[in-house]
Amino acid sequence: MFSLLSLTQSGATAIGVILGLIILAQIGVVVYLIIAHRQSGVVGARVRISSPRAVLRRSVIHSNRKSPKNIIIDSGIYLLLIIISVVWVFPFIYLVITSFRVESTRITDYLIPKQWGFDNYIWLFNNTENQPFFTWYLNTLLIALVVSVINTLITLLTAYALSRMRFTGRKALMKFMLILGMFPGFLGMICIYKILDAMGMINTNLSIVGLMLVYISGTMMGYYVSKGFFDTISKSLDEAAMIDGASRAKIFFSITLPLSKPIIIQTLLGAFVGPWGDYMMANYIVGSGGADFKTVAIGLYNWLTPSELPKYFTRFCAGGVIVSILPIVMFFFMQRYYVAGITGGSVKG
Amino acid sequence: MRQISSLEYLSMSKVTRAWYKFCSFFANLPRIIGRWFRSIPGKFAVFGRKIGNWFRDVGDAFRFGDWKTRLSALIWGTGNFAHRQIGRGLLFLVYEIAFVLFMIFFGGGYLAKLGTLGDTLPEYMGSVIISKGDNSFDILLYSMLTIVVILFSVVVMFLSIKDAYNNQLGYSIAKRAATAKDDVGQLLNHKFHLTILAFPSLTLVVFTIVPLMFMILVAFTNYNRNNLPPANLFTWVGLDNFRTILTGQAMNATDAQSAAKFGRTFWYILGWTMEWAILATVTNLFIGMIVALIINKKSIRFKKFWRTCLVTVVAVPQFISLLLVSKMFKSDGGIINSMLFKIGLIPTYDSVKWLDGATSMAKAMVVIINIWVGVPHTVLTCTGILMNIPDDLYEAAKIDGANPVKMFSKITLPYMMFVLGPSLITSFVGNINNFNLIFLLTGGSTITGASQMDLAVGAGDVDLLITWLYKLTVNETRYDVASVIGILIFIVVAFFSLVVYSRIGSVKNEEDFQ
Repeated sequence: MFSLLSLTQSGATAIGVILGLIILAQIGVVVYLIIAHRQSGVVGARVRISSPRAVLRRSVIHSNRKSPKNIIIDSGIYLLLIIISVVWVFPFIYLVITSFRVESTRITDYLIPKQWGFDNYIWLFNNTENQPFFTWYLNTLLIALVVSVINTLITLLTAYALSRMRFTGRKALMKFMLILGMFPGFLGMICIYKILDAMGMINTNLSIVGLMLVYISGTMMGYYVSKGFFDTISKSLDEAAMIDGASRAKIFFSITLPLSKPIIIQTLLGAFVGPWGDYMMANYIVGSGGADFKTVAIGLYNWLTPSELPKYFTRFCAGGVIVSILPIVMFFFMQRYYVAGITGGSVKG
Repeated sequence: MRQISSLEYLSMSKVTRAWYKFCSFFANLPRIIGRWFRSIPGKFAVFGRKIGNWFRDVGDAFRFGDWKTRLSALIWGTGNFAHRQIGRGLLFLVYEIAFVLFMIFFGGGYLAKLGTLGDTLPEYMGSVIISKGDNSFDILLYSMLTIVVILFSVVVMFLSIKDAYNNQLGYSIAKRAATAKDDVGQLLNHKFHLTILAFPSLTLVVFTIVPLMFMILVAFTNYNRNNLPPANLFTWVGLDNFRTILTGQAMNATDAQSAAKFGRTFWYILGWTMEWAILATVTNLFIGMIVALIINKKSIRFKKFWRTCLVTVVAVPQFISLLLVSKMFKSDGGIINSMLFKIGLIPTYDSVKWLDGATSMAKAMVVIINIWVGVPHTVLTCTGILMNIPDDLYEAAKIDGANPVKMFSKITLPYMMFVLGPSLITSFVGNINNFNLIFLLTGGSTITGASQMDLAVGAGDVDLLITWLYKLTVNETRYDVASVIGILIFIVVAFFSLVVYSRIGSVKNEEDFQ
């Protein structure tokens, strides 16, 4: 389909017509869907008069049979889904294709490269222009790994304490953190910069540690979802263990944690992806320092400023592909837990 | 709004009832908020009473204690040493010595200058500093730190007195005080919360609370590019910054023009931020729900494939996907315009200015691109909810002869709204502070370096409050105005959160779920 896009004017017009027809068909399907639903409503009303057994039989038969009406509805839905997924995936296809383009590093007006190759990738890991992409990647990886582990620990422990223990000031602490979380996180940034500077963590070898500290600092306030999850684990388990003489620490590590796999994975994932894709904080703390202490977000952002764009666009795409691989793999393997974590721990109204 | 009787309510149709509920919620909003504001004094009274009780306890300990207890107020840990709790006693004593040294050599000096934020400028001989002078920034920052330390130390002192008193009482009854081994055991059991909250609290205090206290106070100073330490001093200016931002009035005649601009800009950006948050939240919720329902329809196959296509957007870091999309929609040479031109839909390569032309067009595009970014999140959440709905509900409904529409409106929709309703406000607040989307897509303005609306320094036409805050801090060094805006964002967010949290049951009755 994509190679067609570099065809001549007349061919392109044909594509336009086809697209128009697809959209018209779409509207038709939607209208049909609405009508079909109304009809099945009438059927339901008629069925209600007959005996329960007959209804059961009929509904079973009904659900197994594929009537032509259902087939049309389903094919309409498939069409819609195909269009949706094309729209959603197209930018990433563009990203990947562009990253393999050799003949020009600019933005071009055609999609398919005239010459394919790994030049951009090779350039990323081996260039003389003081753009140490590999160092940035390692920096980001280090930060994200350390931060995700520490943040998960902090979040889970805080959530556990607030969910299970009853101590003076618990409610006050929760309210306080709720209010604290309503301030925009960037507000305190100049002050944090100064504090880190006083600790010798700006423009030095330690600047990455400073950035980690920034990401770790506010974690405690994100206890909310995990606490909701712990609240759903039955308290009688704790009590039984307590009668058997287990301490709080033991209960947490050997009973609560094994039961909360979804929430652990969700927290880990969230805490990893946050630093991995952050530009705002990272730029303020390490953006003005030496090239070796930057993260991928800052480096790649700088490649797309108007003056640098012609030189770096395809290289940005190659870098983008490499940076995206890790989170994509993680998401696809952990998607199941991620969904379970969201809904299991969400606030219930 | 007219009050209606329950009979009237029951005789209404479903739609009217829903409409009535919707209207009455908004009609009651002022009353809810009013009630909350009226409850503030009560809350303060409760808080004050708790603090008071605490002081009374310590006072009692002091009154009824023996000399060891009383001496514990002066030399912390005396009561512990006297009862052979060497470890605890040493901790108290070392902390006290550290605290006194801290106050003498560090905190005290800064705290004394907090009233004026320093009065002597540094003196230079050429570029060499001959006398250091005062640094307003350091004074304000370290004063905040000192205040936190003092508050904490008062708590420690009270603990020392209470500890000594408890020892005194316990000693006279059981002839034995808790040993260090007991203490460690307690920290892993009944006082486990102290162990696990200690480190997070420390980082919270140093990197969140102290900076926030500092920045809130900066809103009452003139800390901007004209008064940058260490070369210059800044000082307290009271509510002037708030007046400038909210009403556009200046403190003196020379600033009148820029102040008027600031006032106009703030209200414009606040309006657009609200518009944006509502549009972004509503579109994401509805489109996401529809897509999730379609994918989860029983007869549709390859569910995992469709979901995977959407989830890619969630997984790819935003600085990549959004920057790429912003370049795709570039008016001169972007791939979208090129394709449209080749198909023949537009006459020239740059005839549609998606993001860098008219403000309204850019705003519409930002909302549309946000659908692309946000819908997968909603789909993921909805999928989880749909999977959790027990199948027997549907089976039972089927046996009773319910049609698909009825099943949807009676089972699926209520179930989804039950979970999505509260998260609606979270995403609303998230959108108010959606820095990434606006900043990475447009940089906040439709044309580089200027604004079509003649806005104040740094602000662009599609800036949200949070991106304006960022620009004021990073590019313009107008810290005073930036912190006023930060406080105003807080007020907006707090207002919406308050309305919702006051209505969510799980916050009030958390015990019900355990």
